Amino acid sequence: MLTWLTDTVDPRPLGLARIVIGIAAVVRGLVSWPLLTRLAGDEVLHAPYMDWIPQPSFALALGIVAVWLSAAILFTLGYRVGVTGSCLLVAILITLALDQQAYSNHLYLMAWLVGLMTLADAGAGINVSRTDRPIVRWAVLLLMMQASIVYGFSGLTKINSDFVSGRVLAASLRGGLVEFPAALRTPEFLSALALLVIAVELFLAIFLWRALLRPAAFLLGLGLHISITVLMTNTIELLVFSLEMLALYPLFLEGRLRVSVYRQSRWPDRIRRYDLLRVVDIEPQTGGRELTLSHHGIMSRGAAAHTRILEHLVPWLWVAPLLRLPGVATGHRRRHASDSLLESTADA
Amino acid sequence: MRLKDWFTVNSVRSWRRSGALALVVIGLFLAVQIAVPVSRIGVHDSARRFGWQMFSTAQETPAFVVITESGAVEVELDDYVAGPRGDVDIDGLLPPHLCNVVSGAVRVTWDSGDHEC
Repeated sequence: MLTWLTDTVDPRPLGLARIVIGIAAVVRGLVSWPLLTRLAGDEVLHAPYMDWIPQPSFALALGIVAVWLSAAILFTLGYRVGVTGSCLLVAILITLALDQQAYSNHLYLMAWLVGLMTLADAGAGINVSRTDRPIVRWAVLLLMMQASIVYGFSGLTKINSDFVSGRVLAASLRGGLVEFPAALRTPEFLSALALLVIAVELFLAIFLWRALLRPAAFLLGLGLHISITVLMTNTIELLVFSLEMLALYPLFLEGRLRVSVYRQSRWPDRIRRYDLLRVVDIEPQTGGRELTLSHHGIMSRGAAAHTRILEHLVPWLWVAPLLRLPGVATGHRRRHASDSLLESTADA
Repeated sequence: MRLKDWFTVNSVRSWRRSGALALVVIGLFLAVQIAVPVSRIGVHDSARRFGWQMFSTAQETPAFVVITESGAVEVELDDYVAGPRGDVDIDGLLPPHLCNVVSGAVRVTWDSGDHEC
Protein backbone atom coordinates (compact mmCIF):
# COMPACT_ATOMS: atom_id res chain seq x y z
CA MET A 1 0.00 0.00 0.00
CA LEU A 2 2.72 2.45 1.04
CA THR A 3 4.77 1.52 -2.01
CA TRP A 4 1.75 2.04 -4.26
CA LEU A 5 1.15 5.48 -2.75
CA THR A 6 4.74 6.58 -3.21
CA ASP A 7 5.17 5.06 -6.68
CA THR A 8 5.97 7.56 -9.39
CA VAL A 9 3.42 8.32 -12.09
CA ASP A 10 3.43 10.22 -15.36
CA PRO A 11 3.29 13.98 -14.67
CA ARG A 12 1.48 14.97 -17.88
CA PRO A 13 -2.16 14.54 -16.77
CA LEU A 14 -1.39 16.72 -13.74
CA GLY A 15 0.43 19.17 -16.00
CA LEU A 16 -2.67 19.45 -18.18
CA ALA A 17 -4.85 19.94 -15.09
CA ARG A 18 -2.46 22.67 -13.92
CA ILE A 19 -2.77 24.51 -17.24
CA VAL A 20 -6.59 24.41 -17.21
CA ILE A 21 -6.81 25.44 -13.55
CA GLY A 22 -4.18 28.14 -14.14
CA ILE A 23 -6.33 29.58 -16.94
CA ALA A 24 -9.36 29.42 -14.63
CA ALA A 25 -7.30 31.27 -11.99
CA VAL A 26 -6.43 34.02 -14.47
CA VAL A 27 -10.11 34.46 -15.35
CA ARG A 28 -11.08 34.44 -11.66
CA GLY A 29 -8.35 36.98 -10.89
CA LEU A 30 -9.94 39.37 -13.37
CA VAL A 31 -13.34 38.80 -11.71
CA SER A 32 -11.82 39.55 -8.29
CA TRP A 33 -10.75 43.05 -9.32
CA PRO A 34 -14.23 44.65 -9.42
CA LEU A 35 -15.23 42.79 -6.25
CA LEU A 36 -12.18 43.94 -4.28
CA THR A 37 -12.37 47.55 -5.50
CA ARG A 38 -16.06 47.68 -4.54
CA LEU A 39 -15.16 46.40 -1.07
CA ALA A 40 -12.60 49.22 -0.87
CA GLY A 41 -15.40 51.79 -1.17
CA ASP A 42 -17.51 53.05 1.73
CA GLU A 43 -20.94 52.70 0.06
CA VAL A 44 -20.77 48.92 0.07
CA LEU A 45 -21.42 46.72 3.10
CA HIS A 46 -18.38 45.27 4.87
CA ALA A 47 -18.76 41.86 6.41
CA PRO A 48 -15.38 40.78 7.83
CA TYR A 49 -15.15 37.42 9.58
CA MET A 50 -13.47 39.11 12.57
CA ASP A 51 -13.59 42.71 13.76
CA TRP A 52 -9.80 43.07 13.49
CA ILE A 53 -9.73 42.26 9.76
CA PRO A 54 -9.12 45.57 7.94
CA GLN A 55 -11.33 46.94 5.20
CA PRO A 56 -9.58 46.34 1.85
CA SER A 57 -8.00 49.46 0.39
CA PHE A 58 -7.60 50.22 -3.32
CA ALA A 59 -3.81 49.67 -3.00
CA LEU A 60 -4.34 46.30 -1.32
CA ALA A 61 -6.82 45.28 -4.03
CA LEU A 62 -4.31 46.28 -6.69
CA GLY A 63 -1.52 44.36 -4.94
CA ILE A 64 -3.62 41.21 -4.53
CA VAL A 65 -4.78 41.17 -8.14
CA ALA A 66 -1.28 41.94 -9.48
CA VAL A 67 0.24 39.05 -7.50
CA TRP A 68 -2.74 36.83 -8.38
CA LEU A 69 -2.54 37.40 -12.13
CA SER A 70 1.23 37.21 -12.49
CA ALA A 71 1.43 34.09 -10.30
CA ALA A 72 -1.50 32.48 -12.17
CA ILE A 73 0.13 33.08 -15.56
CA LEU A 74 3.49 31.62 -14.44
CA PHE A 75 1.67 28.75 -12.69
CA THR A 76 -0.15 27.98 -15.95
CA LEU A 77 3.17 27.91 -17.80
CA GLY A 78 4.60 25.57 -15.18
CA TYR A 79 7.33 28.00 -14.16
CA ARG A 80 8.62 27.37 -10.59
CA VAL A 81 5.24 26.03 -9.50
CA GLY A 82 6.40 25.69 -5.89
CA VAL A 83 6.81 29.48 -5.70
CA THR A 84 4.14 30.67 -8.14
CA GLY A 85 1.54 28.22 -6.77
CA SER A 86 2.26 29.41 -3.21
CA CYS A 87 1.93 33.10 -4.25
CA LEU A 88 -1.35 32.35 -6.05
CA LEU A 89 -2.64 30.45 -3.03
CA VAL A 90 -1.80 33.36 -0.71
CA ALA A 91 -3.58 35.86 -3.00
CA ILE A 92 -6.70 33.63 -3.07
CA LEU A 93 -6.65 33.06 0.70
CA ILE A 94 -6.29 36.79 1.44
CA THR A 95 -9.24 37.51 -0.87
CA LEU A 96 -11.33 34.85 0.85
CA ALA A 97 -10.38 36.12 4.30
CA LEU A 98 -11.00 39.82 3.68
CA ASP A 99 -14.79 39.71 3.59
CA GLN A 100 -17.61 37.17 3.77
CA GLN A 101 -18.94 38.51 0.48
CA ALA A 102 -15.74 37.39 -1.28
CA TYR A 103 -16.53 33.75 -0.52
CA SER A 104 -17.69 31.46 -3.26
CA ASN A 105 -17.49 27.69 -3.44
CA HIS A 106 -15.47 27.76 -6.65
CA LEU A 107 -12.92 30.18 -5.14
CA TYR A 108 -12.63 28.03 -2.03
CA LEU A 109 -12.20 25.03 -4.35
CA MET A 110 -9.53 26.90 -6.31
CA ALA A 111 -7.58 27.46 -3.08
CA TRP A 112 -7.60 23.72 -2.38
CA LEU A 113 -6.68 22.80 -5.97
CA VAL A 114 -3.81 25.27 -6.22
CA GLY A 115 -2.53 24.17 -2.80
CA LEU A 116 -2.71 20.48 -3.67
CA MET A 117 -1.14 21.04 -7.09
CA THR A 118 1.73 22.93 -5.51
CA LEU A 119 2.20 20.08 -3.06
CA ALA A 120 2.02 17.55 -5.91
CA ASP A 121 4.73 19.31 -7.97
CA ALA A 122 2.29 20.02 -10.79
CA GLY A 123 5.01 21.84 -12.71
CA ALA A 124 6.70 18.49 -13.42
CA GLY A 125 4.76 17.87 -16.63
CA ILE A 126 3.95 19.97 -19.73
CA ASN A 127 5.97 22.99 -18.63
CA VAL A 128 8.08 25.80 -20.10
CA SER A 129 11.32 23.87 -19.63
CA ARG A 130 9.86 21.11 -21.85
CA THR A 131 11.32 18.41 -19.62
CA ASP A 132 9.03 16.12 -17.66
CA ARG A 133 9.97 14.44 -14.40
CA PRO A 134 7.95 11.80 -12.56
CA ILE A 135 5.73 12.69 -9.62
CA VAL A 136 4.43 10.63 -6.71
CA ARG A 137 0.97 9.06 -6.85
CA TRP A 138 -0.39 10.07 -3.43
CA ALA A 139 -0.34 13.78 -4.17
CA VAL A 140 -2.34 13.20 -7.38
CA LEU A 141 -4.69 10.97 -5.42
CA LEU A 142 -5.60 13.92 -3.19
CA LEU A 143 -6.78 15.90 -6.21
CA MET A 144 -8.87 12.96 -7.40
CA MET A 145 -10.40 12.64 -3.92
CA GLN A 146 -11.15 16.36 -4.00
CA ALA A 147 -13.22 15.91 -7.17
CA SER A 148 -15.23 13.09 -5.59
CA ILE A 149 -15.75 15.02 -2.35
CA VAL A 150 -17.09 18.10 -4.17
CA TYR A 151 -19.49 16.07 -6.34
CA GLY A 152 -20.45 13.82 -3.44
CA PHE A 153 -21.37 16.55 -0.96
CA SER A 154 -22.93 18.66 -3.66
CA GLY A 155 -25.20 15.73 -4.59
CA LEU A 156 -25.96 14.66 -1.02
CA THR A 157 -26.88 18.13 0.21
CA LYS A 158 -29.32 18.51 -2.70
CA ILE A 159 -31.41 15.69 -1.26
CA ASN A 160 -33.86 18.05 0.44
CA SER A 161 -37.48 18.97 -0.26
CA ASP A 162 -36.57 22.40 -1.64
CA PHE A 163 -34.28 21.02 -4.30
CA VAL A 164 -36.16 17.82 -5.14
CA SER A 165 -39.37 19.80 -5.68
CA GLY A 166 -37.60 21.74 -8.46
CA ARG A 167 -38.04 25.07 -6.64
CA VAL A 168 -34.28 25.71 -6.43
CA LEU A 169 -33.80 24.91 -10.12
CA ALA A 170 -36.73 27.17 -11.04
CA ALA A 171 -34.91 30.05 -9.32
CA SER A 172 -31.43 29.11 -10.54
CA LEU A 173 -32.15 28.39 -14.22
CA ARG A 174 -32.45 32.00 -15.34
CA GLY A 175 -30.23 34.80 -16.55
CA GLY A 176 -27.80 32.50 -18.35
CA LEU A 177 -26.34 32.67 -21.86
CA VAL A 178 -29.19 30.46 -23.05
CA GLU A 179 -32.70 30.94 -21.70
CA PHE A 180 -34.17 27.78 -20.19
CA PRO A 181 -37.21 26.86 -22.33
CA ALA A 182 -40.38 28.25 -20.75
CA ALA A 183 -42.35 25.18 -21.87
CA LEU A 184 -40.14 22.98 -19.67
CA ARG A 185 -40.55 25.20 -16.62
CA THR A 186 -43.20 22.93 -15.08
CA PRO A 187 -43.00 21.55 -11.51
CA GLU A 188 -42.99 17.96 -12.84
CA PHE A 189 -40.15 18.51 -15.31
CA LEU A 190 -38.06 20.60 -12.88
CA SER A 191 -38.52 17.99 -10.19
CA ALA A 192 -37.40 15.22 -12.58
CA LEU A 193 -34.45 17.38 -13.62
CA ALA A 194 -33.53 17.93 -9.96
CA LEU A 195 -33.46 14.16 -9.38
CA LEU A 196 -31.32 13.75 -12.49
CA VAL A 197 -28.84 16.38 -11.26
CA ILE A 198 -28.51 14.60 -7.90
CA ALA A 199 -28.05 11.23 -9.65
CA VAL A 200 -25.39 12.62 -12.01
CA GLU A 201 -23.40 14.27 -9.20
CA LEU A 202 -23.43 11.11 -7.09
CA PHE A 203 -22.58 9.01 -10.17
CA LEU A 204 -19.57 11.23 -10.84
CA ALA A 205 -18.42 11.06 -7.21
CA ILE A 206 -18.29 7.26 -7.42
CA PHE A 207 -17.75 6.19 -11.00
CA LEU A 208 -14.92 8.50 -12.04
CA TRP A 209 -12.91 5.88 -10.14
CA ARG A 210 -14.27 2.85 -12.07
CA ALA A 211 -12.70 2.15 -15.46
CA LEU A 212 -15.84 0.48 -16.84
CA LEU A 213 -18.15 3.45 -16.27
CA ARG A 214 -15.55 6.22 -16.49
CA PRO A 215 -16.35 7.12 -20.11
CA ALA A 216 -20.00 7.61 -19.13
CA ALA A 217 -18.87 9.72 -16.15
CA PHE A 218 -16.74 11.92 -18.43
CA LEU A 219 -19.65 12.51 -20.77
CA LEU A 220 -22.18 13.15 -18.00
CA GLY A 221 -19.75 15.51 -16.28
CA LEU A 222 -19.21 17.48 -19.47
CA GLY A 223 -22.99 17.67 -19.99
CA LEU A 224 -23.57 18.80 -16.41
CA HIS A 225 -20.93 21.53 -16.58
CA ILE A 226 -21.96 22.85 -19.98
CA SER A 227 -25.59 23.04 -18.81
CA ILE A 228 -24.86 24.91 -15.59
CA THR A 229 -22.48 27.29 -17.36
CA VAL A 230 -24.89 28.29 -20.12
CA LEU A 231 -28.25 28.04 -18.34
CA MET A 232 -27.52 29.71 -15.01
CA THR A 233 -26.63 33.26 -14.06
CA ASN A 234 -22.99 34.15 -13.12
CA THR A 235 -21.69 32.55 -16.33
CA ILE A 236 -18.03 33.49 -15.77
CA GLU A 237 -17.94 32.13 -12.22
CA LEU A 238 -19.64 28.90 -13.30
CA LEU A 239 -17.20 28.61 -16.20
CA VAL A 240 -14.37 28.83 -13.67
CA PHE A 241 -15.99 26.11 -11.56
CA SER A 242 -16.52 23.90 -14.62
CA LEU A 243 -12.89 24.30 -15.71
CA GLU A 244 -11.72 23.43 -12.20
CA MET A 245 -13.71 20.20 -12.14
CA LEU A 246 -13.23 19.06 -15.75
CA ALA A 247 -9.47 19.65 -15.43
CA LEU A 248 -9.32 16.88 -12.84
CA TYR A 249 -10.92 14.19 -15.04
CA PRO A 250 -7.74 13.15 -16.95
CA LEU A 251 -6.11 12.33 -13.59
CA PHE A 252 -8.48 9.36 -13.35
CA LEU A 253 -7.24 7.77 -16.59
CA GLU A 254 -5.02 4.82 -15.91
CA GLY A 255 -2.91 2.28 -17.77
CA ARG A 256 -1.09 2.54 -21.05
CA LEU A 257 -2.69 1.76 -24.40
CA ARG A 258 -0.83 -0.54 -26.79
CA VAL A 259 -1.97 0.10 -30.30
CA SER A 260 -1.03 -2.11 -33.24
CA VAL A 261 -1.52 -0.33 -36.49
CA TYR A 262 -0.56 -0.80 -40.14
CA ARG A 263 2.78 0.93 -40.65
CA GLN A 264 1.73 3.04 -43.64
CA SER A 265 -1.70 4.04 -42.45
CA ARG A 266 -2.49 7.53 -41.21
CA TRP A 267 -3.32 6.34 -37.69
CA PRO A 268 0.17 6.67 -36.14
CA ASP A 269 0.40 10.36 -37.07
CA ARG A 270 -3.18 11.05 -36.08
CA ILE A 271 -2.80 9.41 -32.68
CA ARG A 272 0.54 11.06 -31.91
CA ARG A 273 -0.90 14.49 -32.75
CA TYR A 274 -3.45 14.26 -29.96
CA ASP A 275 -1.53 12.10 -27.49
CA LEU A 276 -0.74 15.02 -25.21
CA LEU A 277 -0.80 12.76 -22.15
CA ARG A 278 1.59 10.26 -23.85
CA VAL A 279 -0.49 7.24 -22.91
CA VAL A 280 -0.38 5.44 -26.26
CA ASP A 281 2.40 3.07 -27.33
CA ILE A 282 2.20 2.54 -31.08
CA GLU A 283 3.46 -0.70 -32.59
CA PRO A 284 3.67 -0.37 -36.38
CA GLN A 285 2.71 -3.60 -38.20
CA THR A 286 3.47 -4.65 -41.73
CA GLY A 287 0.65 -7.19 -41.85
CA GLY A 288 -2.96 -6.69 -40.71
CA ARG A 289 -4.49 -3.31 -41.49
CA GLU A 290 -7.02 -3.27 -38.70
CA LEU A 291 -6.47 -0.91 -35.75
CA THR A 292 -5.90 -3.15 -32.69
CA LEU A 293 -5.77 -2.01 -29.09
CA SER A 294 -4.68 -3.71 -25.90
CA HIS A 295 -5.60 -1.91 -22.68
CA HIS A 296 -5.62 -3.52 -19.23
CA GLY A 297 -5.25 -6.87 -21.02
CA ILE A 298 -8.48 -6.35 -23.02
CA MET A 299 -8.17 -6.48 -26.79
CA SER A 300 -10.39 -4.44 -29.08
CA ARG A 301 -10.32 -3.88 -32.82
CA GLY A 302 -11.55 -1.48 -35.47
CA ALA A 303 -14.10 1.11 -34.41
CA ALA A 304 -14.19 -0.17 -30.81
CA ALA A 305 -10.42 0.30 -30.54
CA HIS A 306 -10.72 3.73 -32.13
CA THR A 307 -13.33 4.77 -29.54
CA ARG A 308 -11.21 3.59 -26.63
CA ILE A 309 -8.14 5.38 -27.98
CA LEU A 310 -10.08 8.64 -28.40
CA GLU A 311 -11.24 8.28 -24.78
CA HIS A 312 -7.60 8.85 -23.78
CA LEU A 313 -6.68 11.67 -26.18
CA VAL A 314 -7.05 15.40 -25.46
CA PRO A 315 -9.53 16.96 -26.08
CA TRP A 316 -11.56 14.02 -27.40
CA LEU A 317 -11.65 12.19 -24.08
CA TRP A 318 -14.64 14.25 -22.88
CA VAL A 319 -16.78 13.61 -25.99
CA ALA A 320 -15.51 10.27 -27.36
CA PRO A 321 -17.89 8.24 -25.13
CA LEU A 322 -20.67 9.56 -27.42
CA LEU A 323 -19.35 7.03 -29.97
CA ARG A 324 -20.61 4.26 -27.68
CA LEU A 325 -24.26 5.35 -28.00
CA PRO A 326 -26.23 2.75 -30.01
CA GLY A 327 -27.05 4.81 -33.12
CA VAL A 328 -23.73 6.64 -33.16
CA ALA A 329 -21.75 3.42 -32.69
CA THR A 330 -23.32 1.87 -35.80
CA GLY A 331 -22.47 4.93 -37.91
CA HIS A 332 -18.96 5.00 -36.46
CA ARG A 333 -18.41 1.31 -37.33
CA ARG A 334 -19.57 1.90 -40.92
CA ARG A 335 -17.40 5.00 -41.29
CA HIS A 336 -14.40 3.22 -39.82
CA ALA A 337 -14.86 0.25 -42.16
CA SER A 338 -15.20 2.47 -45.25
CA ASP A 339 -12.13 4.52 -44.23
CA SER A 340 -10.07 1.33 -43.86
CA LEU A 341 -11.30 0.11 -47.23
CA LEU A 342 -10.37 3.42 -48.91
CA GLU A 343 -6.93 3.26 -47.34
CA SER A 344 -6.40 -0.30 -48.57
CA THR A 345 -7.51 0.68 -52.08
CA ALA A 346 -5.18 3.69 -52.09
CA ASP A 347 -2.26 1.49 -51.02
CA ALA A 348 -3.06 -1.05 -53.73
CA MET B 1 17.66 15.56 7.18
CA ARG B 2 19.25 18.95 7.78
CA LEU B 3 16.97 21.97 7.79
CA LYS B 4 18.56 23.58 4.75
CA ASP B 5 18.10 20.33 2.78
CA TRP B 6 14.33 20.76 3.02
CA PHE B 7 14.62 23.67 0.65
CA THR B 8 16.63 21.97 -2.07
CA VAL B 9 14.84 20.53 -5.07
CA ASN B 10 16.14 16.99 -4.59
CA SER B 11 15.13 16.78 -0.97
CA VAL B 12 11.67 18.11 -1.81
CA ARG B 13 11.32 15.18 -4.15
CA SER B 14 12.59 12.79 -1.52
CA TRP B 15 10.17 13.90 1.20
CA ARG B 16 7.37 13.30 -1.25
CA ARG B 17 8.58 9.69 -1.46
CA SER B 18 7.97 9.14 2.26
CA GLY B 19 5.12 6.66 2.75
CA ALA B 20 4.50 7.76 6.33
CA LEU B 21 4.14 11.37 5.23
CA ALA B 22 1.75 10.29 2.48
CA LEU B 23 -0.48 8.51 4.99
CA VAL B 24 -0.46 11.48 7.39
CA VAL B 25 -1.31 14.01 4.66
CA ILE B 26 -4.07 11.82 3.16
CA GLY B 27 -5.50 11.23 6.65
CA LEU B 28 -5.50 14.94 7.50
CA PHE B 29 -6.94 15.87 4.10
CA LEU B 30 -9.81 13.39 4.40
CA ALA B 31 -10.48 14.37 8.02
CA VAL B 32 -10.87 18.05 7.08
CA GLN B 33 -12.63 17.47 3.77
CA ILE B 34 -15.20 15.13 5.28
CA ALA B 35 -15.65 16.54 8.79
CA VAL B 36 -16.20 20.16 7.69
CA PRO B 37 -18.89 19.48 5.02
CA VAL B 38 -20.61 16.90 7.29
CA SER B 39 -20.82 19.52 10.04
CA ARG B 40 -22.53 21.84 7.52
CA ILE B 41 -25.30 19.43 6.50
CA GLY B 42 -28.75 20.56 7.57
CA VAL B 43 -27.68 24.03 8.68
CA HIS B 44 -28.63 27.31 7.05
CA ASP B 45 -27.20 30.64 6.02
CA SER B 46 -23.59 31.43 6.88
CA ALA B 47 -22.95 28.00 8.41
CA ARG B 48 -23.29 26.44 4.92
CA ARG B 49 -19.97 27.89 3.86
CA PHE B 50 -17.10 25.42 3.20
CA GLY B 51 -19.62 22.59 2.85
CA TRP B 52 -19.74 22.21 -0.96
CA GLN B 53 -23.46 22.95 -0.89
CA MET B 54 -23.84 24.40 -4.35
CA PHE B 55 -27.33 25.57 -5.32
CA SER B 56 -28.81 23.05 -2.87
CA THR B 57 -31.36 25.39 -1.31
CA ALA B 58 -33.23 28.46 -2.55
CA GLN B 59 -31.66 31.77 -1.60
CA GLU B 60 -34.25 34.40 -0.84
CA THR B 61 -32.91 37.91 -0.52
CA PRO B 62 -35.29 40.22 1.33
CA ALA B 63 -36.40 43.56 -0.11
CA PHE B 64 -35.17 46.44 2.08
CA VAL B 65 -36.82 49.85 2.35
CA VAL B 66 -35.11 52.83 4.00
CA ILE B 67 -37.44 55.29 5.71
CA THR B 68 -35.96 58.77 5.59
CA GLU B 69 -37.26 62.12 6.82
CA SER B 70 -38.52 62.81 3.30
CA GLY B 71 -40.12 59.42 2.58
CA ALA B 72 -39.46 55.74 1.84
CA VAL B 73 -36.70 54.60 -0.53
CA GLU B 74 -36.57 51.05 -1.90
CA VAL B 75 -33.02 49.68 -1.70
CA GLU B 76 -31.31 48.39 -4.83
CA LEU B 77 -29.30 45.59 -3.20
CA ASP B 78 -26.47 45.61 -5.78
CA ASP B 79 -25.69 49.23 -4.82
CA TYR B 80 -24.82 48.26 -1.26
CA VAL B 81 -23.83 44.58 -1.34
CA ALA B 82 -20.71 43.35 -3.18
CA GLY B 83 -21.72 39.70 -3.14
CA PRO B 84 -25.41 39.08 -2.40
CA ARG B 85 -24.94 35.48 -1.25
CA GLY B 86 -27.30 33.38 0.82
CA ASP B 87 -24.50 32.52 3.23
CA VAL B 88 -23.97 36.15 4.26
CA ASP B 89 -26.20 37.42 7.09
CA ILE B 90 -27.65 40.30 5.06
CA ASP B 91 -30.61 40.78 7.46
CA GLY B 92 -28.28 41.38 10.37
CA LEU B 93 -25.53 43.37 8.66
CA LEU B 94 -27.18 45.52 6.00
CA PRO B 95 -29.71 47.59 8.04
CA PRO B 96 -27.06 49.23 10.30
CA HIS B 97 -24.93 49.87 7.22
CA LEU B 98 -27.85 51.51 5.39
CA CYS B 99 -28.42 53.75 8.41
CA ASN B 100 -24.81 54.94 8.06
CA VAL B 101 -24.67 55.53 4.33
CA VAL B 102 -28.18 56.71 3.37
CA SER B 103 -28.51 60.35 4.37
CA GLY B 104 -31.48 61.12 6.58
CA ALA B 105 -32.28 57.42 7.22
CA VAL B 106 -34.39 56.93 10.33
CA ARG B 107 -35.48 53.33 9.95
CA VAL B 108 -34.88 50.30 7.72
CA THR B 109 -37.65 47.78 7.14
CA TRP B 110 -37.68 44.45 5.31
CA ASP B 111 -39.95 41.41 4.93
CA SER B 112 -39.29 39.96 8.35
CA GLY B 113 -38.14 42.87 10.51
CA ASP B 114 -37.16 46.48 10.96
CA HIS B 115 -34.23 48.43 12.39
CA GLU B 116 -34.22 51.86 14.03
CA CYS B 117 -31.29 54.02 13.02
